[in-house]
Amino acid sequence: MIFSWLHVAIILFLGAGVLFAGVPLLASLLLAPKCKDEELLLPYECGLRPYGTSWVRFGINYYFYALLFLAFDVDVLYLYPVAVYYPFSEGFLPLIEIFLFVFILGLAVIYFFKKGVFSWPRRIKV
Amino acid sequence: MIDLSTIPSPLVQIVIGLIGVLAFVGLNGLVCVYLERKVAGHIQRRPGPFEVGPHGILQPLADAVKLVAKQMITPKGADPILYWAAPLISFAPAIACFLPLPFGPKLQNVSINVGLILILAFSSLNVLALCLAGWSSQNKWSLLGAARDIAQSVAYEIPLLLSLLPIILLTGSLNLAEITQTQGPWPWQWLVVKQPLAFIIFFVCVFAETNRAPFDLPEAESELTAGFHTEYSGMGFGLFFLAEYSYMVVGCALASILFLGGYQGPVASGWWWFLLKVYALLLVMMWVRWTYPRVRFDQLLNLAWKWFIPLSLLNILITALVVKL
Amino acid sequence: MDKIGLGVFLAHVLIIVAGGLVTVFARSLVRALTGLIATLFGVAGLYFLMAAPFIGVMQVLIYVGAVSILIFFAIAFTKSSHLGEEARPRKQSQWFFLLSVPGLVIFSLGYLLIKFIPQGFLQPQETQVKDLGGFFLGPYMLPFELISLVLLVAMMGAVILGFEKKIKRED
Repeated sequence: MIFSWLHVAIILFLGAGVLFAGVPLLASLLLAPKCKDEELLLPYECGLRPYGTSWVRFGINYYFYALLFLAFDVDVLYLYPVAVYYPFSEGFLPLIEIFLFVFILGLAVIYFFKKGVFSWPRRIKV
Repeated sequence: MIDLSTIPSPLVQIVIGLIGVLAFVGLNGLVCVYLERKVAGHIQRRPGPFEVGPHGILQPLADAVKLVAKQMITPKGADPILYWAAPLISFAPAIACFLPLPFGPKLQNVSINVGLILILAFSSLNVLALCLAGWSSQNKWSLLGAARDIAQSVAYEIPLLLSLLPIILLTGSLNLAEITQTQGPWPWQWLVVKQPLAFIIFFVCVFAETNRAPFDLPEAESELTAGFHTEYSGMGFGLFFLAEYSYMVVGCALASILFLGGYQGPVASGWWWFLLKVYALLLVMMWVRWTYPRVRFDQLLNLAWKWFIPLSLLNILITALVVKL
Repeated sequence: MDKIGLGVFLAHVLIIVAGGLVTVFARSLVRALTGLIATLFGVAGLYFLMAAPFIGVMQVLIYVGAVSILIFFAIAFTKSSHLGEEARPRKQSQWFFLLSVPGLVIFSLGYLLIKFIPQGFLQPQETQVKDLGGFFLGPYMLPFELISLVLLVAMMGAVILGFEKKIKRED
């Protein structure tokens, strides 16, 4: 096990962040008035009583965008260590490799174009 | 300012740095609120806040006191644990983002070899907090705001990551202090000269990731009341606000380190140059907010997927070619 | 430093186990997701303990930042509310499956690990990011290129499944 100072620092900073955010909340709990009323606690919805629950189902499109994002994200993140090494590499082989990798990424974008992923419907049909 | 590297124990060094960062974040919140209101005022040809203190300079403090003194309401039917955890989850990573930033030549908490990715990782947690906030408040506006926020962050995260790759291809480092040192003190030695396209894409993505106008669709007042934080009152709202300003500063700091030479300046390099650049970029962000109208949702996504991603992919290829030639 | 390291390790394990328990036992699916996020975060900390900060940060970026969003959307288009199927109290048989299968896995794995513990653990050494990149461009060239191909196919699959129908419906 290696316990680095970086790790200490990250834990300390996150903890301090929670504390820094938590203290005003606690202060507010002590200082603020405490009204209790049925109407006060209603979620806001145009001034009327809320109609039904808000935990509704989303369209599946959101899920697909998240899926595309995830795949793209992983792809791009593989490029990071490669990019760090790239200026120190020798010869033209690394250039060809990066070119291929980015070209395949570009193919994905072209494919989305062709399939109409980026054409947003003018009217959403239910 | 003290020279952090002369302090013997790393722990003391980290704690001092931490206190400095906390003070900076708190102060920055106050300064940004004041600046934003003054800039908004003067752009609209009115003086802005003027009553509390000379030229309204104590207005942010009064605002803070007001926020603390407001009742915190958990709406009926909401998920109380997640509802109150969300502002904390939004704010805490913002502090961790300050860890690898070199404020000055010897003013860095811990020199981290993966500093750049650390910032990207922790700033991506904000989306999660916003979607928990939107989902747990049992409010339809909040949920819609959260859904929009995720779609937006998801679309702009990719060009953000892609636009930073040319910088790494040129410098060969993820350590922010090293990237600063590869640039010189004079403006023509900064990386923005070599990578103007990457700078523009990165800066626009920072707007989108921090939900600033013209990309403030997740909290669009005219359509969604207040978006994901509709139900938050008092300090709950205040924390989201503070987190937003902190992420803005982190974004601008990253832009000035990667593209504008960080703490280096033509005369007397030091932390003052760094702060000058950061606040200049922040002023640009505020200027843009009060100048451009909000974009439509399809325009927002088109800009990311149809323009920024192909352009930044091309930029990577050209940079890779130039580095080898 | 070693004792502190052990303490931190135990703290991380606590976060991971607590997150896992929340994931399994929470009534609301979004709370379960939060538990899962805590678990993934704890795992990122373990990577730091293994002297692999780059992998730890990547864990935060990909799993906590991206995969959990995917899961959130997956939850948000199911009937996941507190009135849904998940919120009902569990039956006896469900408890039995819940405890028996993971319990069996944990005990058999733990037994094997303790029985056949490998001798002579090496102290982990940090691999520089630059060296990682060198591996990708050098000896592991083919896997590196295949990654992009595999992910391209994955994205195409998502598009074919999700968007074909949408376009037809509009016509």
